[in-house]
Amino acid sequence: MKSISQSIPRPDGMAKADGSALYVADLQFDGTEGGRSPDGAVALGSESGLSKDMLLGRFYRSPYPRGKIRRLQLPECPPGYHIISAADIPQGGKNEIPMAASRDMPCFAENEIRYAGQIVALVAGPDAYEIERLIRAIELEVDETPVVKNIDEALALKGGAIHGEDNIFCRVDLDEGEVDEVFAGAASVVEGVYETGFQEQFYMEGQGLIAWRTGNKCGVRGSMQCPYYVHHAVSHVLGLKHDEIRVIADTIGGGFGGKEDYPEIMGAPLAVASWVSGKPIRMLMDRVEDMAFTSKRHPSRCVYRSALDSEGRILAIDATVDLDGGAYETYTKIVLMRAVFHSLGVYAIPVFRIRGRGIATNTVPSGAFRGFGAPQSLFGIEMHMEEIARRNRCEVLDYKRNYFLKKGDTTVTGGIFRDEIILDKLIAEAERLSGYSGKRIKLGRGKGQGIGMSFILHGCGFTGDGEQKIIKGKAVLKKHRDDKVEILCAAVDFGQGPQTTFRKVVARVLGIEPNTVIFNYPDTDFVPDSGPTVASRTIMIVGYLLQKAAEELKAIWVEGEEQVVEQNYQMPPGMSWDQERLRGDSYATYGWGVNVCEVELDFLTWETKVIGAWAVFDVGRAVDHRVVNGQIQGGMSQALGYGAMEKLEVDSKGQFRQITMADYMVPTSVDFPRTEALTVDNPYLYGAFGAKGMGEMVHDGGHAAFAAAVEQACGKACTTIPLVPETLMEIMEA
Amino acid sequence: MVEVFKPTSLAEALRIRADKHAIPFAGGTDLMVRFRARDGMAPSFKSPILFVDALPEFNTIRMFNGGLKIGASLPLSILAGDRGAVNGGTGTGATSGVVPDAAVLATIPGVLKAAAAEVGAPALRNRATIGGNLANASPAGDSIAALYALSAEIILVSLSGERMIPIEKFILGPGEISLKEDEIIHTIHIPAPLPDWTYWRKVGTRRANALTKISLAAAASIKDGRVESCSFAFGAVGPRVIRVHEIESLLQSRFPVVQEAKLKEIIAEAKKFASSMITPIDDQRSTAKYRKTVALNLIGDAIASLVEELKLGD
Repeated sequence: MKSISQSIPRPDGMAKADGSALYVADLQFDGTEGGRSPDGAVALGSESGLSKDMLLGRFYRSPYPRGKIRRLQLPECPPGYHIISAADIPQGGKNEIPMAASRDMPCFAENEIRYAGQIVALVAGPDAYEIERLIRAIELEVDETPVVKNIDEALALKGGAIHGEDNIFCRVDLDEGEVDEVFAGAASVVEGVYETGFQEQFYMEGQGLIAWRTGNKCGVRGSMQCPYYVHHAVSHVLGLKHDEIRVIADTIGGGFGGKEDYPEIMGAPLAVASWVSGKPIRMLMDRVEDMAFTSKRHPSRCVYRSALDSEGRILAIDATVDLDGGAYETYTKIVLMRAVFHSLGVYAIPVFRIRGRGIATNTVPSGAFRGFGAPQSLFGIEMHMEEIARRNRCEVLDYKRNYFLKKGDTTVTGGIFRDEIILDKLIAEAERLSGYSGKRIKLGRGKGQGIGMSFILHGCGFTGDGEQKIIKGKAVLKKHRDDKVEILCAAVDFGQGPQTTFRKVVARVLGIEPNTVIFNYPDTDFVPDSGPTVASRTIMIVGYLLQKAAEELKAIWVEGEEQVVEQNYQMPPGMSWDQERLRGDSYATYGWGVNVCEVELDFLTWETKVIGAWAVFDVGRAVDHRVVNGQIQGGMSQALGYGAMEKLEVDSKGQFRQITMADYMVPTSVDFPRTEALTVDNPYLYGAFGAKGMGEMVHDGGHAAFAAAVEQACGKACTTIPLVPETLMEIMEA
Repeated sequence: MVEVFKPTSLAEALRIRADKHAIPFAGGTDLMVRFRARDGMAPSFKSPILFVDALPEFNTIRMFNGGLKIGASLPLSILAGDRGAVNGGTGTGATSGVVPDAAVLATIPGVLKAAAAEVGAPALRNRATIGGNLANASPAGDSIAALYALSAEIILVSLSGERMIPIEKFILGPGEISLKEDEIIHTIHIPAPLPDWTYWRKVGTRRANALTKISLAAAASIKDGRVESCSFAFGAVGPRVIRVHEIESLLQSRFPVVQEAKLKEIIAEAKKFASSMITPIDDQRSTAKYRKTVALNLIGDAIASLVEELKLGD
């Protein structure tokens, strides 16, 4: 039998390539109540939000960055137009977007403004020009307060605290052993400050949603990763029961986390507008609005101090991990947890103290982005290890090897690494592909050429017992009378492949052809909540539920009969977690990886050129090689862009300065070479056919490998990314 | 709505231009961005549009008295020598589809060809035109820097005739050009002699589809191992492309003295001249300090390359 890893054509590939796939901007009313597209996959009737009289919607956003709202004056609306604001939230609803444990972000700004661009009102109507006129006629008066643009200004409480008394949204602290004692007796201490910037997800399709009302039911559909998150947010804001809400995820043109939280932030006010007006409303963001106001990756500052003994060995690490959460907490706490839990990387450090803080500023609330905190702290620990190895006059790979985690070791939260850790195998493959060690010696230091290697681990699935306590994922297989099997779950394919891999998993168990398996885009009227499409959980957690469901279906299969099987998530045996004390197994298992990057540096212009990129990962088992390789290629480009090019600054009002495709430098196909990549099998017992999560870890280490290579090429420490030529000039002329 | 004209002859185009003050539109790659409106709304043009891309004489390139005459609507893809470049194929009227003479294309100075090749991406270069790049008058316009180095002259036409103006007088400031309300940019003239040596270096924000942070375009005519004439033009370091004439006279007077020690001295002097003339700014793409430092570094690189050329000619 062929390996499950052997690729099949992507079932969703041709429609996306030939333009026939329907994205939210393409959806048109088919004249029916309950109509569907010819392939049956897309709901097109009026009950699904489409109608002839669909309105356009646009936000009125605050031009002021911070202050108390003194007055909001809305203009008179001509017939057929609606202006919706906080006052329109129906009784029983709440003016707050529920995200994880946080409730601080309002749906519409009501009393205060915390960032330039905050949603104050929504204007809907048939004509874009009239909407434009109405938006210009809205008057907002704000008693302005000085703007907090970054972590330093936040900690200095510029203009008074934005949040609480100290601008700290949340803290995550970990302690192991007597840190102060060890430092007091250390032979030397190495300290470094490592900083990363904002990053834009840059999905190809901008944010877009439609909201509608059918009687006492509210619907939202469009481009989103997590239909049940939107479902939950709309229920909270409108005060509706769960069966009074329907959410449909349409074909989605990329997400990268950017469509994890933002569809809630955008969908809740849109749902209010549709609920109040009774009209379906479509809102599509153009590229500039999308880049200027949607969630970005949290900027970070990590400070690492390491106590060394007289032989240069690490005795203890004392670290702080600060994330710029922006104006509202939103998902910052869980991003911070992931950042802190990954902050010691792949190394076993006996004694440590880690202090994590999510910090309030007056920028756009930071949100989800592939890696979710891990790329920030992994950059910190990897660059810190480079520095310690240099101090010890030691080859960094040799130095790092002394600390590699192995099976049975304790995690930073006191859990256990239960599965085989195969870093040595991954390194051997990376060496074979890249010739790293030979080049590292040959290229010298400060001579314009360099090669760097970074190591990453990535906890798969929700942090702690989130899968068990919060998500409670459920997946269903339904066998129709014609014996066609349908997958019912809430997982969305935004390029990362579940349309392909889920079909393969189910088909393999049942011995049928993958392309006969029905897997429509999720519609909460029909699919159970299998959880959000985030956190490298899809193939491992939901895929495994489907595998188990298929095994069950196979056992009870009766031809010509409708049969339904359901699987609910269960924590793997032996795993435990204490959310209060943050103790135990923070993740069920981990993906592992080695990234290598080779660069040349132009001393005339300080431009870097990546001349080689290599990546080797332990993904458990690849359910589809092409899907996995696609993730590796894209993840590496995104990580190298993060490390080398993607500068995103804020101006004096805390607004982003690079908000066009001409100014925000996402890499093109000619900026970086193709990544030479492979995976090494290390099957995970509780993942679909041994698969672990891998969609995020491919973005966890490329930037650190790049920075390490640049350090060798320029002969100076490079502790801040992106390493654009302007920054490298400052480093080299310092 | 926007009023649109698609003239089929130059005479008709000039009449519409004079009567309606319609804005000449060739590839539209800058205009469509400048007058961009939100989705669902038409571009916010303030005047009628005059399509000039379909008039054959705007799409020609030919030798003229040892120099070159380039039609204003010639796409940058032709100048760049892109594979699959299409001339006048924008389909807005009686498409000319003029196929340029390969022998003429071979004479395009390296600096212009290289500059054109680094504008945008292939699809954009097939629409973007040399006249449009000039009319946009960005200090970061790549073909503009090259045309400064080539001492280009711009031929403008109107119902009342033709006038020729040096590029340094044509471009007045960012987005500002010396074009009367009834005039159309007709031809770019690169006077003889075409240079024996050219230099082009664009430092962009990335490797393709990038805007220029700093550029240096240079050209020289060489006779008997000496620099007979030369030019050094810097892009994106001031409100306009800046040509540093002091460097030019310095090189003309000193060469062919090319001992290493002398060379260092000459480069230092050239940098001093440039340093007082270039006035870059901080913006969302780069910093003033970086732009200035790199501009000066590039002078050294260009002069070293010129010296190599002189040695080869010995």
